[in-house]
Amino acid sequence: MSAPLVSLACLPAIALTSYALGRPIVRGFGVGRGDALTSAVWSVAVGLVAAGLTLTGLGLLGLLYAPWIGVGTLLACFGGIGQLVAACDPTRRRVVSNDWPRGPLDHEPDAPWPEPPTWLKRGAMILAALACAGSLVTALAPPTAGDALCYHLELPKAFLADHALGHLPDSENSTYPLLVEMWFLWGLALDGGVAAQLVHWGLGMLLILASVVLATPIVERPWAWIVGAIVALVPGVTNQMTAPLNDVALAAFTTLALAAWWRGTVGGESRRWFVLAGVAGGAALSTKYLAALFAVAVGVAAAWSIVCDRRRCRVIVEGTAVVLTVALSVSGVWYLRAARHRGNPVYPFFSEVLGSDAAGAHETLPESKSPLGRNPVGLATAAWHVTMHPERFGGRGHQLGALFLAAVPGIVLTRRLRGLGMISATALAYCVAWYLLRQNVRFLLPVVPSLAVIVVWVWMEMSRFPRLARWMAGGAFAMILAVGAAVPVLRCRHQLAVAAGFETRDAYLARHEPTWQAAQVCNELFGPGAHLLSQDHRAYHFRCRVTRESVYRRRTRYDERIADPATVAHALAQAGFTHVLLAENLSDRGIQYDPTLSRLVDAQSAAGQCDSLVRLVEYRFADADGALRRYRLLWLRYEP
Amino acid sequence: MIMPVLPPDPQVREARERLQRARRLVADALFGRHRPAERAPRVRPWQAWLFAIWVLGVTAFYAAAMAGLL
Repeated sequence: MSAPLVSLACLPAIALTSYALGRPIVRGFGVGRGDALTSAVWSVAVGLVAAGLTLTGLGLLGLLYAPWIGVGTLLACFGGIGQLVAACDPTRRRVVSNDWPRGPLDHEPDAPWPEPPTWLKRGAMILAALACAGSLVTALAPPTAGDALCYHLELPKAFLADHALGHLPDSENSTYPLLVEMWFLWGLALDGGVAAQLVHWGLGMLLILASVVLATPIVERPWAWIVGAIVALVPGVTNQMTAPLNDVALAAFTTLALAAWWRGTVGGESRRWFVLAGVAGGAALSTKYLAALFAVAVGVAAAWSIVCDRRRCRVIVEGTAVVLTVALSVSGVWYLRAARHRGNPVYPFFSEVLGSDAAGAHETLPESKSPLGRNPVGLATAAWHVTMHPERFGGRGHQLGALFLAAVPGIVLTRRLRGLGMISATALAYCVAWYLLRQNVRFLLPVVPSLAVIVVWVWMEMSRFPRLARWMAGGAFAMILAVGAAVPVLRCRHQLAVAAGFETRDAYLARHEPTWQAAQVCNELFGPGAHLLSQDHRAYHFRCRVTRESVYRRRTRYDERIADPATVAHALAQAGFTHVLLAENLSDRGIQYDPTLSRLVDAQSAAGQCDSLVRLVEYRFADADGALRRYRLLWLRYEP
Repeated sequence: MIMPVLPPDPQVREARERLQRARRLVADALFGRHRPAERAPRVRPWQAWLFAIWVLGVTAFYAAAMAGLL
């Protein structure tokens, strides 16, 4: 019963620690004064970046020890409580507001439009709260998401076990930008996989609040809350918040970078905003290569802005220089690390050009990643196809829902709004680049807050519609939002028992995680000393070292060196492996495994050499994607 | 001796409130800030209806697509 509470307690501990680290920095920059929400959001975001960089530094020095991380968190957490008390103290706030100059947005907003009606505010907030609560319940269950178990959690687990941020040659993802994985490592050090998963849920909350911060200077705070609610009701966002992945984190930091960039360029506020834009941009670049695409989109929008108004040229050029310098300083460590280990700073992309060891194995622009092709007709119809058939673009779970396709075209009926053009141009440029490069729907999350601002402006302008037309469109929007809240609430029903502590995590994993049974056997019999060669990439639940067979085969071509089928176990044992995990998909649904290793092992068994291949466990597992999989865990009993 | 506090005369209070309302009305008429949304031109009805039909159409198609009917 206490396990979920302990995991849940780690989330405020991490948030408070981040706040403690970030608030002095944000106060030092003197931005967001007089606006408690903006100040708090930026404090947590900057603190997270500082903590992530600290963990990265410790990892590079080989000093990643869970007890140290725990003690450091505890101490900083108390500091965060003190900072929070100080921020909430009205006497100190008054002193601050008297001493410091106020920014243009700090005064009471003089909105040229009415506030949203109460029923809209309350309705949107209730739906958003339901969606967040549903995703929180799901996030309290042990992690089972495929990519999370392959590397988002597996890598920090391995780093923590080695106390160092080492290079893992048979894990392609180990040289990606891994800032988010450093935060997951933080959660793993404090508690375990659930706490790490909750970190991503917390980053989803940061995305929602960052959307409010982005929208505030454009549509004013009361409507900005509606923007936040819309973001919280996007199915792809609530789905991502339930698993330790990195797309929501990326969206949170691109949104903050865009918000700070807006303040500096369009808002004409302090140039210090560019430093914060650089910090957020650097965090985004440290999360996923996709952030570079967002930077290009912002650059295109900025260039367009200069064409429209030459007077902005100077501030934009200066701002760009500051942002790039800070962003590269924050994120550079990951790109240097990849260049050192792989010979390619953006490994495995552009391997065709940069000639790293992934050449041939990876194509930067494969046709399979562009279901709509790359032509003008596909571009024009992309929004429709992505909305109606998200399963073609990475899965229904990551979809954006119908709201944006329904509402965004209404922008042609609205009046111009200061600042909306910049974020609209950025979103448009990003979507075009997305279409040309990788048509995966979850890669669209960075533009969700911008699209939500457009949607809210369209809603505001609907007050100029005839009443019946307004009510009809409004009713449809209400239905879409209600579905957005219902999806995460209904999805969490399977996790409710384990989240509430009525079901053990082991029992839950036995029902939901295909590799759990094999991992249990391996852990109990051999502990962390084993070395597993696995056809399944889900390695997180194994306590021992796990090597992916497909990557190992590509690197060593071991299969080509085995001439005699009877010597398979011998060859693998000689290479240092103690076990193999064979995985086969017995159905035509879900991912299929390369059968090379299964074929080799079966060939040895057929040759009558079964003594050196001891079958420890064999079982079938009906997965949630409809696939029926067979797993075999074999011990390589080789005595030299 | 302390003077007891007399309850306000309801008639006087009502008259004062009426006066305040009238004063606010006049001040708002003369100096009040007109909200652009209120004085903005209405969207042409055919455009508004076209948008409403688009929204309903997308919602209906989306529901059908998610139900596997498309």
